[in-house]
Amino acid sequence: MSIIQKQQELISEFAMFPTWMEKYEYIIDLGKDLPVLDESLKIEDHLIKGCQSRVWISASKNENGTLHFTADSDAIITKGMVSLILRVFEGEKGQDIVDAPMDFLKEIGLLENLSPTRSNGLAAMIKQIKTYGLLMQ
Amino acid sequence: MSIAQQILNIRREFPILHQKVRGVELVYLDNAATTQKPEAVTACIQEYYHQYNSNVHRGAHYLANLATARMEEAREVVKEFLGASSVEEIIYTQGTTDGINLVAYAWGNENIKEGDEILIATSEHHANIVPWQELCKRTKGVLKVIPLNPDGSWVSNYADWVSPKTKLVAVGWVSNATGVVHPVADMIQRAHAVGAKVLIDGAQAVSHFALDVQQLNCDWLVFSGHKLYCPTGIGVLYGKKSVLESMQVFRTGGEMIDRVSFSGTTFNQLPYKFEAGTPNIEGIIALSEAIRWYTNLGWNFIHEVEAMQKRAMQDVMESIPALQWIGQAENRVALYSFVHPEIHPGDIGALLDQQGIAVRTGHHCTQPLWESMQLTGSARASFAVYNTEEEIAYFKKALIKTLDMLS
Repeated sequence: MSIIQKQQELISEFAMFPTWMEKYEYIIDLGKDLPVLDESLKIEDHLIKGCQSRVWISASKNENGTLHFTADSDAIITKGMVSLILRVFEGEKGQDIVDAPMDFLKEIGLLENLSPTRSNGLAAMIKQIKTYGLLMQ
Repeated sequence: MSIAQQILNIRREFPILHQKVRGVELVYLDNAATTQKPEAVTACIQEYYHQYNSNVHRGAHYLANLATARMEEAREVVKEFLGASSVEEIIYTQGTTDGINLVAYAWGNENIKEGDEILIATSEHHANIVPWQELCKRTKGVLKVIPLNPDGSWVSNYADWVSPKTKLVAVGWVSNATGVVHPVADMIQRAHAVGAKVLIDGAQAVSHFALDVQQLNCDWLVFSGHKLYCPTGIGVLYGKKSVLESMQVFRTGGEMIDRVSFSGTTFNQLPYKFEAGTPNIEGIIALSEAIRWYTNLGWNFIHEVEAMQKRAMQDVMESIPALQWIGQAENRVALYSFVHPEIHPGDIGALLDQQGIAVRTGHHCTQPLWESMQLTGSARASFAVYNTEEEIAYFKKALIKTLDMLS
């Protein structure tokens, strides 16, 4: 599935929930599904600046040249958001990650629903993931 | 008329409270950050701009005289509110932080010498920590800190931190993070006994109980208008006249001068000595209107409302044992900080927000307090005179649902 297809899939999944409380419930579930990040990877280098809660994102390169991400946060909603974004980028090539449009977050309605602090945090996470994409081509 | 009915009547004066956010009725519980403003206050700002906007003190015309008169009447209102002995003791500032900085420079630079001690408490807001840390850097003074009990109150032997070297005690009356009321009246006596001056940070106190600075006998007291139903950007520094007179000037420029020449400048008398530049005229007028509006409700009524809120919150606390309620000392105001051992406060705040409830989450500008409790912050619900029992019942329901979703 391409990045765009995965984004479309998320848009339709979120559209199934009529209220924001239900959408949040789904985000929380996504957070719970995120594999546990090894404590040794919770280091300053992986910490995203600009979030109210602590968020770590780490990336490694698979043998076939695609990227593998692991992440964690001490806040479950934040973790759900990382999980949502990483579902799109997991197993993709660096260049494709850099080139990917991020309009799907708007279509989900997530951006307008978030507080400025949270959307800044989200922007910081995306920037970090794209930086990994750029450096690990 | 029942209290509940009276609160509903008061709510009619706050248009902002009658709206839906995220599809549900707004429940505003972030009053320790800032209160909403009644129509009487916003109307007086409009009246000022529509009818007598003008620069004060210097004008030789009708409007300037009217604006000046209103601004000086306003000072009289603040004087009465604080129980000060004269209007010369009322200095307008931008707010609490500004007032503390003024004292740190205009009094501190001159009076704190190497080795002199400044005493604060672990419960202080950053605004009552950082200006003193900076003053200590400038003067080689020493900052001393009263520790807290687990319930958020000062340790019972707090007076032991006052020493012959203490030159200043600067303490918050009511903690913005826990709601705990600290024994400042006793502290003032202890400090004066060793010749130290005392500054009271009254930011969270002014809306909760009547003040009398003469009875209290503090040297300075600072507060912000916006936590007292008035707009942001205006506050008050009360100072004893003799103390203010002995202080150096801080900001310099217009309004605060007596005569300027290149051979030397002399300064205006109190209170203008500390009010450089064109003042926040609309803010000053609005502050007096807010004080008038609030005190007209009557302290008895205000205390009855707060007692109702505390009773209702007692039920919330007992119903949700999974939460840890921080700072449950006996003497406290209707302000509640809470944490969950496994849930981030930001998550709680986000889901309450989705249910129309405004609370604050984070460190509330009291990082040393959280560090002393081995926490990093909390979610905080803080109440004002317009918060109803129904709102607290809804808060309880929403909070239970929130924790359910996050557990």
